[in-house]
Formats: sequence, C-alpha cells, structure tokens
Amino acid sequence: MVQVISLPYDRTDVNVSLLHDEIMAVVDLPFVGISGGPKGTRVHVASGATDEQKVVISDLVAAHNPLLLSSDQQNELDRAAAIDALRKPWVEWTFEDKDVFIRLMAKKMGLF
Amino acid sequence: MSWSPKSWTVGEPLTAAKMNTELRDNLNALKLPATVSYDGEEANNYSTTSTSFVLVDTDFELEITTLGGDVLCGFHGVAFGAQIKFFNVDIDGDLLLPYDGIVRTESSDGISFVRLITGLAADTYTFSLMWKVNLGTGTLFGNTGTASRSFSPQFWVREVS
Repeated sequence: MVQVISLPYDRTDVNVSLLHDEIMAVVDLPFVGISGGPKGTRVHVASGATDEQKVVISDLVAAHNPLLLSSDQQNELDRAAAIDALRKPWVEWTFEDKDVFIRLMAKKMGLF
Repeated sequence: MSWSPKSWTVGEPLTAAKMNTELRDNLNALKLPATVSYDGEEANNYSTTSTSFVLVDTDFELEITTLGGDVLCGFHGVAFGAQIKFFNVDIDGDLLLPYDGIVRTESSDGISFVRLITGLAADTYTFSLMWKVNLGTGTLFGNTGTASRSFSPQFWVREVS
C-alpha cells in the first residue's frame, strides 16, 4: 500500500477536479490525489516526494484558477447540453439525434 | 476513573467513601460511557480525488479515552460523484480494514456504517474517518443550505462495554 503524506494549503476556493488534472499533467510527481473542504486544500503525495517536487506542487496550487473547468467537468456540461437538445417529441428526432442518443447511452454503460 | 469493581471481604466496613467510589462512581461510568462525535455543520462540501485512503477532514478526527472496553464507531452522510467512494476508519495511524475499507457507494446516495471494535486496551485513541475514490472526484455533502444538496454528516465513537 502506498504511504501517503498530505501537503496542506489554506486555499478553500479550489476546483478539486481541475487542480487534480493540473498536478497530474506534471510528469514525475508522486501524486495520489487532492482533498478540499472548509478548512483548506490538501495535496496527497507518496511519502518519497522531494522538496523540489513539493515546491512545484505549491506553485501549482498558488497559480490555480478555480473558475476554469476540468476536462471531466466540461464533458459533463457537454453531455447535459446534448441531453437537453434531445428533449423534444420523438417525431422530431432526426437520425443525428438518434445517433447522439445511442452514443450517450453506450458511454453511460461503459461500452467505450 | 477506571472501571475496577471492588471485591469485598466478610466484615469489611461499609463507609460513605467506599460506597461513593465503588457504587456511585462505577454506576456513573456505566451511565456516561466515553463518547465523542462530530455533527457536520460546515457550510461547504468535502471533496477528494485521492485513490489512497486519506482523512476526510480534520473535523472528522475524534479523540476518545476508553476504559478498555469494546467500542462502537459509526458514520452517516450523503456522497456523490466519482465512480465509487470507499470509507474506512483509522485508529492512531492504522487503518481499521485493509484494501477497500468498511463500506463503498456508487453514484449519489446516503451511506452509513456502524462497526464494533474489540481488543482496545484502556488508553486514549484518535479515530479518523478516511475515504478514497477509484476514479474522478468524490464529494460528501456538507450543510450548504442548497436545496436537495444540504446534509449534516455525523461521525461518532462510543465505548459500549
């Protein structure tokens, strides 16, 4: 089991999903995940993280813009928009609409 | 005081001091077992992307001094997001259960557990609520005041014997 240490930061205005992606994008960081809550943000790293790696993480946390969306969040917004566009009588559905619906269902079922 | 009922001998004087110690104090210990709890009142949610068990929040770290009896530990809350969210308990730095912990939940749902813990010697312990996800971001609702998304999680520990 990975030995985890948690690096604490005072920021409470963090988009956890996005900050996770931002840290994951930096190669060679022993990164486990992020936790956020009313008392601040914690970045969880493997216990062997170096001081230099911790500085990189601190810089990423400081530079983080929580108003932006992660790719997962954007995908979820796109999915919701696609579903909303299908809220119409069946007789008005086009072949493209049915294709969109099938893709949405297939992805929800984990087929791809 | 520690739980230590006295063994009396024939003819031993029954004094007020002994009655208070052996009867009153021991009955009080039964009536008021060691108990600690946290009732979530934070106006923010808790979130994690950690795939290893980590502390939910310092709010969910509870210190209890026991007399060497069995301990009940419980939690309830409403969680959403991520594929699967796993919950566990850490006692003084050691996870109660290995692998995937005590309970798990998928999607958005209420989740709870009660666990009986035996074999703890009389001492002071820190119980911590831990969680992890398998993928994505898991969230535990706080007392946000937002309709359909406002809940008060509770974590508690009580000595029961």
